[in-house]
Amino acid sequence: MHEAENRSLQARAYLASRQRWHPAEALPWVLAVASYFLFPNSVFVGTQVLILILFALSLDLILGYAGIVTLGHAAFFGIGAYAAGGLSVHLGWNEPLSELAFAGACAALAGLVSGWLLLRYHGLALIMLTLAVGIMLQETGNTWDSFTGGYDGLNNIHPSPIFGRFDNDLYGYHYYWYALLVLLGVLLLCRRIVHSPFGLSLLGIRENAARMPALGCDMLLRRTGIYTLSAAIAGLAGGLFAQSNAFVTLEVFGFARSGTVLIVLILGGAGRLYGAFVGGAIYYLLEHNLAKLNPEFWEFGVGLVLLAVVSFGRHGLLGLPGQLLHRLRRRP
Amino acid sequence: MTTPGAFPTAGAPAPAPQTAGAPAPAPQTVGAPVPALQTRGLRKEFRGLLAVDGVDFSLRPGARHALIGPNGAGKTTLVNLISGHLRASAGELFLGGQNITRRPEHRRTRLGLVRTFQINQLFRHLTVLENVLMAVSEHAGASRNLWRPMGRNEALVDEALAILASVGLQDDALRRVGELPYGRQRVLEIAVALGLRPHVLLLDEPTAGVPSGESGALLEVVLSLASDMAILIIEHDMEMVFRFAERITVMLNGRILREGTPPEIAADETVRAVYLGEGDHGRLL
Repeated sequence: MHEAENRSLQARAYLASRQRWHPAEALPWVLAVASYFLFPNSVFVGTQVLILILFALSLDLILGYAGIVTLGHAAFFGIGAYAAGGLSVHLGWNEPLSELAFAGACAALAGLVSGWLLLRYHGLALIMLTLAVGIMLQETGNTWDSFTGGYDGLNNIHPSPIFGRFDNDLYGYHYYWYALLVLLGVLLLCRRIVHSPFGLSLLGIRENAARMPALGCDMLLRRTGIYTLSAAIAGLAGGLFAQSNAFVTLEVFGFARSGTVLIVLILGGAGRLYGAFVGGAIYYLLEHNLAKLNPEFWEFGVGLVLLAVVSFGRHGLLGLPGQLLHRLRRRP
Repeated sequence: MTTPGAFPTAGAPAPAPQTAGAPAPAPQTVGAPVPALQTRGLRKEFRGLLAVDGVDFSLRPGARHALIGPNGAGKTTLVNLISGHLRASAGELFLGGQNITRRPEHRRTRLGLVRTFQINQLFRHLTVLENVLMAVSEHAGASRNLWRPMGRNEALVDEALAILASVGLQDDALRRVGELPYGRQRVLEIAVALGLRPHVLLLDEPTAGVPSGESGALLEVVLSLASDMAILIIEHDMEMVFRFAERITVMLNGRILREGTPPEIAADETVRAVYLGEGDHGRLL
């Protein structure tokens, strides 16, 4: 009996250890705070990087954990952006936090409905369907120009100051912290989810989806659940985008955005939450520095790096150290 | 594996074995207990090929039943039809008298109709404990909980550990599945199924690919399974079949060739002919 108790404690300690904070997890936050002070002129751009990371994190939940490949994730980013923007421009509602929550809720609803319809399909069919939904949304936005402003977009989105104090200043100082705190909150939420029984079943779906129904798992419901959550987070990213830029155009729905976020995540490494952070930062640095070398050709450089990362290992930049160690250990 | 002639041959001819052509029994016969599992006219056609051709079959509660037959006889397809992994082209399926023909795979599992796989379908990068926990959480409905950390779900963890202890895997709980010897992975496959609290358990070739040195432990586990579960085992290892089964069904070309007690099957000339015609693999007697 004593032995069984011991084993139980040991097992629970092991499971708990999986979600303990690793010191390296402080790194992105330290870097984010440091770069605010080191590069005061780039704070606005920094906010856009944080938004990109948040968007990539939302994709990681479905791609990295549930194995759902999508080329239309920008749909939820766009819905979030237009929800926040529309609330401000058309209804004159300017309280930024509730506006952001509304953006997340609208995207979640879209995720729930489209997930429930689309996630019956797999593989190539699903990829094409997500792509099609993205295109259709963009065209709907174009037609419904009384709401979206057509190709000119929505201008004059002016959220009131956060808590009545922190407005969207000229340099974007306040909104950098705003975006950083939202990102932190979402990361805490994702960490919690990943280590829950629900999160374990997501790992199961990623590792062997065919087995899950034989464990009694309703794949459609489970996948729709995580898809909805991912859509909500993408919607938050879109809402932040609209608020910080003060305008939205139909470009937010674009295929380019869906492609970029996929590149960011694959570059950083899917299925480990922090891949989004690494990928987002590296993508920005590449874009920034390669564009200096040759403004027309920087995407070629991004392509080259992606090629190198993907062909060396499937786990992105975050997976590289582990893979190198593995290779070294295998050498006699 | 037994060599030809090693199995005792019954002198008397087998009493009227049930054949595929016999009329289908009603799902509930008055007086007789409700079968744990029953199929009626189950059929599966793959592009013109009849893999399973009108199978009527039933398992009584607590049954120890083996399904044998040469390769390609349709055994695994039958299990896939019963578990819902494949959709039947025709026929009906009852679980404890309830018609589950139209229930999808995950609903059948939740009703207690559980199967294992011939080829390992474990989560190799997760630990042994997590593999069983996944099953236990699904069965308890805890997998919809996205807030409470796994390590704090004490009841689930203890249940998973108890199952591991019951099959002798308690010392491997925190090892990754990929590090386990193959024989133990096959035991884990059964442990995962037990996490789903089956009423009917379908074991698809539990000893497939297991080196003979490791199959003893596996046999012990299979023999020790709770007697209130109805178990159908597909197996090529005749030693296991004859030690385990109280009844044996022989399949050939998608149909049931014979059903009977082990001595009846061992004595059956047709069954012998089928097996003697085969190569070394799956030799019966």
